[in-house]
Amino acid sequence: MANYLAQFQTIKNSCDRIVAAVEDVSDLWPTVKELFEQHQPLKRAVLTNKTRNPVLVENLPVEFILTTDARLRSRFPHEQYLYWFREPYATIVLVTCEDLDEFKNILKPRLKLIVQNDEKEWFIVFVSKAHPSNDQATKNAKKVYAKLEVDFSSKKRERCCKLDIHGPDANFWEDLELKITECIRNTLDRRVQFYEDEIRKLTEQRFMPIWNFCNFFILKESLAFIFEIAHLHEDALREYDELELCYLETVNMPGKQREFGGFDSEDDQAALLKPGSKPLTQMVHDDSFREFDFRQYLFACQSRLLFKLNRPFEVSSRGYSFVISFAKALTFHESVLPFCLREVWVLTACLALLDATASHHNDGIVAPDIEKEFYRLQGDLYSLSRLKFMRLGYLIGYGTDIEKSPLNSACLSMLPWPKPAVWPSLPPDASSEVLEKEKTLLQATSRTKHFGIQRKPLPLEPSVLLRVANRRRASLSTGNISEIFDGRPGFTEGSGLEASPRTPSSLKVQAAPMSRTNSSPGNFESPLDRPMRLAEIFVAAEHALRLTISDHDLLKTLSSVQDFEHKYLNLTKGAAENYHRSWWKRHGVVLDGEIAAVCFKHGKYDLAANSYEKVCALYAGERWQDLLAEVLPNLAECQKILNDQAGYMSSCVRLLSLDKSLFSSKERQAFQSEVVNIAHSEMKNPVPLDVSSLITFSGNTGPPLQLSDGDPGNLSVTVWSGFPDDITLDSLILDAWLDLQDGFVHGKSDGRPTSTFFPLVVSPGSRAAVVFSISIEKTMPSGKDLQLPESILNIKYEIHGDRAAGAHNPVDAADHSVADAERRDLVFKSAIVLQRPVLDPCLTVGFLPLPSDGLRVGKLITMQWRVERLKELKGSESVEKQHDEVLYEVNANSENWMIAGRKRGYVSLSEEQGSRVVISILCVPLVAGYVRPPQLGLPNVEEANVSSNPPGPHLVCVLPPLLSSSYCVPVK
Amino acid sequence: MANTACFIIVGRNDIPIYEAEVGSAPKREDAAQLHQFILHAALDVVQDLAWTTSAMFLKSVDRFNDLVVSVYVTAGHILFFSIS
Repeated sequence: MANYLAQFQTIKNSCDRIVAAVEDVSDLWPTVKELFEQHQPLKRAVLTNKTRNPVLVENLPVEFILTTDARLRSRFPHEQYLYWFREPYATIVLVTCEDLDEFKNILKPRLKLIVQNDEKEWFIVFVSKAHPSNDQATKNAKKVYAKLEVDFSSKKRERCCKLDIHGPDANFWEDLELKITECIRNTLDRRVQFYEDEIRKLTEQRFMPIWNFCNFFILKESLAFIFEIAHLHEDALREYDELELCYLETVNMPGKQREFGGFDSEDDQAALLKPGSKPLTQMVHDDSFREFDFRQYLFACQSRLLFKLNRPFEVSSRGYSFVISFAKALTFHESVLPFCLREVWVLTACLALLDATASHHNDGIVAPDIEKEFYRLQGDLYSLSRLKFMRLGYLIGYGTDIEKSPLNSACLSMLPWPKPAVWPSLPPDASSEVLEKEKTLLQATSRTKHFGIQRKPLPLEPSVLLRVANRRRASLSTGNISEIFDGRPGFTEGSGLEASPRTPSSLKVQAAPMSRTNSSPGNFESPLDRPMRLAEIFVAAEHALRLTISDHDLLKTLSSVQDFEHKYLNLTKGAAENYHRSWWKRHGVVLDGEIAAVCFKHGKYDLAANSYEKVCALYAGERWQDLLAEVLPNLAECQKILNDQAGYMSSCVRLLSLDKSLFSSKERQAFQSEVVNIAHSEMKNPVPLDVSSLITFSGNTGPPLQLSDGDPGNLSVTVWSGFPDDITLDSLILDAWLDLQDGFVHGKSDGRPTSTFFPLVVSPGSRAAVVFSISIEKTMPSGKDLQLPESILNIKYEIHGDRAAGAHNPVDAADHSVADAERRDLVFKSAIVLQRPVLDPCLTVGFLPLPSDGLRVGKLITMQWRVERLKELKGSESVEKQHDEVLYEVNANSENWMIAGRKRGYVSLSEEQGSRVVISILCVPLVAGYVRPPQLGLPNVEEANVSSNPPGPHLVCVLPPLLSSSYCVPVK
Repeated sequence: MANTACFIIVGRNDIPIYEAEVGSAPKREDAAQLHQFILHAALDVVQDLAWTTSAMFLKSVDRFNDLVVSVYVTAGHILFFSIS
């Protein structure tokens, strides 16, 4: 089988295009060869695909080989069927003759002999050498050609064409192309049919014991190859897809143990795009192929066709799925494979796919959604390779250089450790490397978070590496392992390395129990007898990886922290860039944050700040506060270092405005003290600071204030502070005006600024008075259709900055035009009801005292008002109809009071001066507290004629209800 | 974390409006934050997927090692995320 496969592969590799045989009967080929080859490839060939549909193939190359050529002559007949794809698809018979007798007697019998083979697809090219000036020769040639057509062409099929070497050849090449195409199409159909029949037969037998996958493979691949050289790539791809399905079916068949593979040199480098990386004979085992090699081979063949079909997108998409599924197979065999072969393979596979697809991809050729998807896949491939690269780096001790960000933690802490049968042990001569590694670990200082934020770093380990590595060492007893961890305070699963090498204190904790088993720290002679230390685990892994990894470039990227970081940055940038192109902004921006972390480490604070800004804007915009709380301190730190005071203060304010539970009060106090310190330091260029998320104003709630003549109007403004500590406000900057209700006018007619004091600066802790000069409008319209029943006090105050960009809830900007978007004036309004002074009192309304035991919720009460006439009414002054009757109306807030009886009605009141009447209303208070009592109004009398006592609105106290015994539960 | 799940409701404009960590297994301290991170990133997938189907339950939209993110999208485009 191996020999057969080798031969098959050699033959296949030596043949790359369709062959047409040239039967050179009259020694013409040397003369016309060049002409023939100049007219290659076939421009438009209509072939038939597997589903028997015509397909237009453009630029199909055809190779012309003389039938006398050694390549065709040396073949045995049985080989022709085995490797049918290389046999000629067309036979072109080249003849010339100018003598009719010669044709009849010699040429014709010879031609008949040549074309008698039914399996050949043939046609005759008659070459006329006659010069156009030589009439006789031309005539003779025409005669011979006419006879040739009669003898060899039929109604069904035109088999002859004529090339005039010295004459015009307008139609000849077109004619030739049609005839060659016809031959190729017929041959192709016949061969495809043959292979399909054979494949069908074999497929039917595939559950029989004698079935052999290699035979099936050769047939299937031959058919795929036939399609491929005919440029029917779609059909070829389908053959490989079917072959893959069939292979996976045989591989997954239970009960048969097969060799997986993966032990050859350079197997760590993914060969999923190099079909020729390994000869087929090297992949074969028993009657089938090793999964490790063969699945990669099949993928390589498929991707080669996809590239020919100009579909790099599909290579990416299939490639990503292939890597994921192949990694699963590698996991299944992980215990027998070299250490971390899976990780290395996935990494190299992703990189190979990225390289190949990027070079085949041209922007703008495919539909935008496909392009978007392509970039997304590139991003995924970069991400996956980045993940595996980080894992490898971590295993050899570069974990201290990996940012403990949510992304890296989510990637690494949920990815299980490699599971070799035995964890690599320390080579005997590695003591100096261990010392070096230990030194590096000790020197790695943990970067304390700015503002003294005490937050446990996110883990990068799925479980404690120290424990996993030692547990997987064959010679170690479990007793020793438990010894390592005994007495380690606060050790939790998943906290891993981050709790150890960064802080010297935790290193001591680690070292202490080890010294019990290893008295001399410098003695590395027999590490098998005791648990390995972290530095030893790293060095051992590094040695093992050097054996696994065959690619020197990859080895170099892991050879030093600097190289590691360089590659890490490249992969991160690649992922970020592609995700941005695919409009996966969250993925892209988060990776930008990782780039920022590296920039920060190298002192490129401006770059870091730029990227952190983006991350913060993303999380703030979508209000994912937990995530924002992780990254905003980093931005603030950059801004502080860059002396960007405005930015820094704004970040501090944003931190303060985040949910209080996200930071301790101590941390929040630190944010505030930073703001205060900078604000109180003498800034060269003072900057406006938006604290609107932390300082909020609110006016008084409840019904509008009602003012009578002589009442001082007190407007209470509540200021809410989100600062954890006391904060001093230097001033409030106000500007205020009063929109007056009907019947009142300003002292000055313009209605707005009443004085030159505005804007008014109010110091904290002080009371401010705003005096408005108001007079009664003389020409008060008598109609009752009042435009403005209440006066509105407007207070405008300024907020600098953009509230929409903060960490707090953005203000609805819909009401604001673009022009004032940057500087927004906030206005709050408070309604005040001004009462017209009683200028000409005719009637007086007095609210009679309430019972001395007070009011209580639910208790019936009688409210009384005394109405007294102060002077006699004259003529048409007030009441319209009957002067001895007064219309009254009781108004009460129905939420506070329930009124029994008539709320509106007439009472009789004599027209004489001093006549009086008491109006009583039964009512029940509904709520406890200070509430406004029901009001008695006289709708038919002008307000200016009614004097009230008390003059303005007042409040009464309502006590809560008495406890009802029926609701009491007896106490046992 | 096999026996724990995180449930988040994401309102319009991708703003989280409810979050709950549920499950009986002892939780990793950092689980909530990592879950939030994963779910936030999954919004990228949902934004592409939600408009390509009339189905409201998008099943598994993203995977993160062993964690599976699934989402239910209401007609008003409120997302019910779960990660388990």
